[in-house]
Amino acid sequence: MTTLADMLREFRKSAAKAWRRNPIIRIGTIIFVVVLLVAVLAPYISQHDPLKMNPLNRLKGPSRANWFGTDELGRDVFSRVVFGARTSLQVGLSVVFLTILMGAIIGLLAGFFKKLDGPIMRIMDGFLAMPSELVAISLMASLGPSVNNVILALSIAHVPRMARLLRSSVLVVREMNYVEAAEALGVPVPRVLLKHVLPNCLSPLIVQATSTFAFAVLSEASLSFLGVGLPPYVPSWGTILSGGRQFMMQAPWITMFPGMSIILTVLSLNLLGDGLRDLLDPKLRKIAS
Amino acid sequence: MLVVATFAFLLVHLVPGDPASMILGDMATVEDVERLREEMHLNAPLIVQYITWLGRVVRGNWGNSLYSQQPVLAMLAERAQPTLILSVSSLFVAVLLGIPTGVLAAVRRGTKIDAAILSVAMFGAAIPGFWLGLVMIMYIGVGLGWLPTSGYQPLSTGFFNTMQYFVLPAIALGFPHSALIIRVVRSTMLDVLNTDFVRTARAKGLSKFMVIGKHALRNSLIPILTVIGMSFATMVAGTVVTETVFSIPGMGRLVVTSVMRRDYPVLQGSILIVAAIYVIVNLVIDLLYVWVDPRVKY
Repeated sequence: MTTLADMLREFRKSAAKAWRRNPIIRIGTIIFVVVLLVAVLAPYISQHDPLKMNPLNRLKGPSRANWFGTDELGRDVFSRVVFGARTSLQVGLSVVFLTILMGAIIGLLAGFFKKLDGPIMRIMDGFLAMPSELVAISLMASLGPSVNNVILALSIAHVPRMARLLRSSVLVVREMNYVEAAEALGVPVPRVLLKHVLPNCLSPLIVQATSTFAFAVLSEASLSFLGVGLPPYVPSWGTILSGGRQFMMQAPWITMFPGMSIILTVLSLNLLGDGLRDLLDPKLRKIAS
Repeated sequence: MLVVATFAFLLVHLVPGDPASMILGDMATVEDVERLREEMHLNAPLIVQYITWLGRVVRGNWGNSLYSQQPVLAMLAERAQPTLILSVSSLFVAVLLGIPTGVLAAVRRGTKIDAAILSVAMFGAAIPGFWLGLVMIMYIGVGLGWLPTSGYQPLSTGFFNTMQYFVLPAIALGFPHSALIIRVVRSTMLDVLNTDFVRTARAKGLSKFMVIGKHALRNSLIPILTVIGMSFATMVAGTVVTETVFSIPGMGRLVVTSVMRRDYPVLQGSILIVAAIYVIVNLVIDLLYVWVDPRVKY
């Protein structure tokens, strides 16, 4: 039987090993930590207020005062990109958290209780029959633009995938001897689920979490770009791109920098996910090498 | 499909605010709103509304746009062509780029070519398609002036005339997906290249091309088909963003404008159509499995 503490200890050990041996994880982690630091330290890194307009200084190219130039309202693009990292990561982290939470609950229930499996999974299949971006867009249409609504819409769009994945691992773990033993010992069902079943389903969940994160960052950008995501005054990579689009010809820097930030973040998450998958799933490790 | 329809229905009815007062605007009197509510059957219980709505959808009456009063189905039909061309040509780009490069990476595994292809694929998967579109408009469309950057001409004006509008959009939409295809092609090909029958084929002295094309590739087609199917389905949804970037008047663009205008019947219709395409694509892929691999039975 593996408990959560064992899992974590094991994980820490193998993570240290992976860090030494696996350059993919190393690169991914480094880029991601840099983006994370930029997001956390945003007010200290940027020299300008990302919201402060300066009409006299509009659409200026990159210079020493404005590293990434200024946008159509004279706002400093560098500061906006830096604060955009904050918004994007905030959206990404919250979406991952909500998706795991809801997906875990639904997946555990569906996987563990045979009676619930059918109805729950049919509903999830229905959601999976729609492209997740479209689900998010249509939810945004009725919720209206705001940070919380974007988080909610993207989470709802991604929960079915997470639930489906967790259900399939729960189905396997449920049949294990230690689960049967725990049940036979009279361990209450919620405890069985949380302490015995869930920890053993964690590895696919973690890998899925990184790709959900990457998707969330990309989708937030495209939703905001379409004008159905965040309200335009909130600095996020999507809103900057959406604003910069009209001035693409005169001021390409408004478009270039947030785009590259998105690529870097998504790239780091993909690398991290790939590395983790190799690490956590020995079967796949062979194929990948 | 029923869940999709229910979702599309509930979407409108869970919206805060009253559709009737939204249509009539701020100047409407209470009596006007009440009359319209009666006309739209908004006063009936939710379940009754749902059943009548579903009945009308099945019979092909998808309602009228709140904005232009045109029937939704006609609006969608009018915009189907550019969206279909865009998704098919993006698929074309993704497959044409993805499969040969993936095969090359697998055959030259462990070499610099493999590493280069893998890093490009890794990078490609991280690029937001719409941003790639913007950059291409900037440098290829306007910078070099080779291709039109926006708009669309119907197919009736000639195939090449139409297609020149779709080169950049198809690359923007297709390239990130080709990255995904490359990775899947490479890993399944690696598996298959290690099997006995490939070794036998090699030992028989078959040409390299025959071994790879006929024996190896054919046997790795199932996972490849799956990922292509998934890509195509996502591309249909991806047209929403790409059509906005390139100002193509297709269904994706319609989704965005209907969201902006809060034009719910149009939005419901578009969701139903896209979901239907999604389901059909998945079905077609399942059927293709049988064709590719006769061992698969249903």
